[in-house]
Amino acid sequence: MKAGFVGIGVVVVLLIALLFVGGSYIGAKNHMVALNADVDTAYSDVSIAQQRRMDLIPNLVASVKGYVSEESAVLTNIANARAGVIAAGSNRASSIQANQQLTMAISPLLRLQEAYPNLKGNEQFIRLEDELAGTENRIAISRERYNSSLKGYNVYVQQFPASIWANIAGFHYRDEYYKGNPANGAAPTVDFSK
Amino acid sequence: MNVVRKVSILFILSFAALAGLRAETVGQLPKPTSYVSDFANVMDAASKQQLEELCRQVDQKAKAQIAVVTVNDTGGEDVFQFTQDLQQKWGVGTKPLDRGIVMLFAIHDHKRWINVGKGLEGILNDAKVGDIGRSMVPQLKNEQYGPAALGGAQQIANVIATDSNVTLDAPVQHTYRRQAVQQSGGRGFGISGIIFLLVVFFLLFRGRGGRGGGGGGGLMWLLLGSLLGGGGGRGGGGGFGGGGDSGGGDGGGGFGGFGGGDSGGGGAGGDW
Repeated sequence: MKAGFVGIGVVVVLLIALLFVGGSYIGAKNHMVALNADVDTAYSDVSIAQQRRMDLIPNLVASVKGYVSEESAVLTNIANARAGVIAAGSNRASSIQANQQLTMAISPLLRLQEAYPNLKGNEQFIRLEDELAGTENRIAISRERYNSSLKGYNVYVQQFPASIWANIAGFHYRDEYYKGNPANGAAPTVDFSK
Repeated sequence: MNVVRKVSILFILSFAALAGLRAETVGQLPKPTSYVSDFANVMDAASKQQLEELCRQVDQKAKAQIAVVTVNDTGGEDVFQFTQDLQQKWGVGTKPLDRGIVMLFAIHDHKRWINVGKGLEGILNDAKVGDIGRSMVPQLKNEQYGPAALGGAQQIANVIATDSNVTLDAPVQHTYRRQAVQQSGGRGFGISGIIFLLVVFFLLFRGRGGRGGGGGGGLMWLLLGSLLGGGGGRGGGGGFGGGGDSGGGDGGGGFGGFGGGDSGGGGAGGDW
């Protein structure tokens, strides 16, 4: 009789432990699914802003063609970087990299009127510049938000005990951040002799 | 003695450091108390009043919020980033719609930016906003900040009004009472009218309360609140019942409902 009670007690304890573990797993997995979806949503916002830029570039380039020679390094770089983005397709890691190339290639375009003062009178160019600057801002903000939601996901899947469940459920660390240009990390060399 | 001297020197030094740190950051700016926040103190009263009236109409009729802000400088920060942070912090534009605009003028930096909330990006695209911003430049150059902001805000308001199929009345001076009634937020204007009303009510009810005995106080405020509430003042009753804010018409928590509006980086700006 006594042994029977002990047996029931052990079973109850085991059941409770199982319930806890199972509950923890389900809770963690649901949370990871939600975080993962957040990351994907944030990424699609980045993609939308980047697509907007892709659509804008041909118009902008066309509007400056009368002022800037077509062989200009600025325009060539932009054309190459834009082709790179198209080539990267939907692969996230390579698309992120190609778009960062484009960000760098496009930045001289935002300062083009300094080199070509005539452009200041070109209303179409000025308005396209507004659009481009606004688009760059949108990209920057959506990237920031994407990075922070990705960070939320990465922190969660690496922390104990969720890390155990993350491994089982197949949610892994995603190193898909937008990073600054690595070249900006080096201290700039200033040469006054020239 | 020595310690006192040291402490006082420290005090003076830290004050000096603070005085040197005149640069403004978004975090240091006080909460908005009305649509126009002239932190740099450069706008004339008439323009300010017309701006308030205009923004109030846009808010009420077209459900879009415009915040006009002047600061001395952006503390070295990019003017877009500053404006964006401000819009996020204040939440200009109510939450689900994100229909909010922040017009920022950094007076000493000679920089301007018009930030457009997500819900308005469709009708106020960057190029259009850029045009509006550039149209303000001649007046900004002449240091006519009030008329410049008014002109810009008017153009923005017109775009929003046309899109929402509403007509905005010409900015005329309403009676104080009507402003207090319609403007559930924005303690910036109509305040003297409210105070006047308060004084009148107070005098009126104090006489009765005195006759009725000591317990009349709370009841008086309740009655006062409901009376004002009956006049149409949303939230006014609650405010008075609580015996709180001297602003009276302020429905509590900022004004008009700045709160939660998001911006994704739309807008344009430049310098002057």
